Amino acid sequence: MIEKIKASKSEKIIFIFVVILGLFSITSFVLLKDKCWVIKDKLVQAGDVEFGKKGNIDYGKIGTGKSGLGTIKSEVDKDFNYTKGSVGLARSLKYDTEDSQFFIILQDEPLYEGEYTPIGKVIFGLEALEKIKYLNKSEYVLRPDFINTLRLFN
Amino acid sequence: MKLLKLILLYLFLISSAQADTIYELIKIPNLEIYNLKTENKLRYLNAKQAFTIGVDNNINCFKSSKQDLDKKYKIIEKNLNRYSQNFLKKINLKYIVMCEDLSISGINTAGIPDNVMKTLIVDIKFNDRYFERVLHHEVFHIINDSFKNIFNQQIWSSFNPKEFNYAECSTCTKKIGLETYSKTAGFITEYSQSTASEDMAEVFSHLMYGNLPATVDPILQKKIEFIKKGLLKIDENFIL
Repeated sequence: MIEKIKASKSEKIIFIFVVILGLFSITSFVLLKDKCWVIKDKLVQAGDVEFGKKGNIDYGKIGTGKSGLGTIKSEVDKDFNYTKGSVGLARSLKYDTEDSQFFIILQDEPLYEGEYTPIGKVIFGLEALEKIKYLNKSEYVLRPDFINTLRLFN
Repeated sequence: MKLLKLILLYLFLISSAQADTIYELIKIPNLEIYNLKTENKLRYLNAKQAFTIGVDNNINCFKSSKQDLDKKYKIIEKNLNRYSQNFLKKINLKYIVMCEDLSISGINTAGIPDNVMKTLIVDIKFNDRYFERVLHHEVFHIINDSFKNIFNQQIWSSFNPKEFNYAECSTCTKKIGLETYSKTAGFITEYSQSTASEDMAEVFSHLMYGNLPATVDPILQKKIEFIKKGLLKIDENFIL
């Protein structure tokens, strides 16, 4: 369960639209990777509604997909501590490229403050994320774990 | 003994994980956090081992001792605290990497700025005589790269006498002297005569360090005003 922090209007709009459209249901989790390595217990990322949907996964492109609803501006000036269980929006190297992909960190990451737009914290069930499938040697995991449903609570 | 080994392993894993996060953000390996809690949100990192980066692995820098780091950090922080958080955000500078014996293609250099990765690598063993001023010189390159339109090189070059030409690159010339001229003739140091961007950086660094010559010639005065106006265009609250 994720407790949402006070988000900007644009963040709320794109996140709600993506959830309402059901686009988040059944997207795979991707373990953060950079070319050859995957770090267990560091971070899980999901929300690639273009290349990460069950039944339509593109292993070559997963992690690069877009929602088709446009990008939103980064909001990295908020005071927010990226402690274990924090949730943030993924982006490319450039700011203002946030889309539907989000990540949940599994360890404290103070360097993420000021780098990634925060959107909430996991308040229940973090231990489930620590069991997400990963594979040390591969670029991707065959038959990855998926999100079943995502609901927004006010 | 077993507990000690477990503690050491835990610390190693934490350290590795942070190094991976640093690499993820700025693409420089073998770094660790030195200090994140700063007034203007600049983040200071240091080399925990030598690193090599660059297109042809042509940039090298080495680890410094804790004693050297602590000593030089105070000087670096004091100087870079003069830039506000707002200004640093505008020029896209966030990370300061401290190491020693920094070189690019075998040529020693005081610093390497990269506004795309929001990083400035600083050689903490650079000549003490010029160390503080050179910090500002390197920051100017970040400013310049982020605001090329404001610090237009053609306009700058037009201030010089018509017969003067800069070199093709800053390392393509033997004009490397950093000593401030007491009598200026359009240039504040020998190094100013290398390229337009180095000239601008030298003028800026003297403005920040506060060691302009007692009298300046009309060409240098134009250059000083150009820099001042440019800074105010970026941040109307900028204080020299």
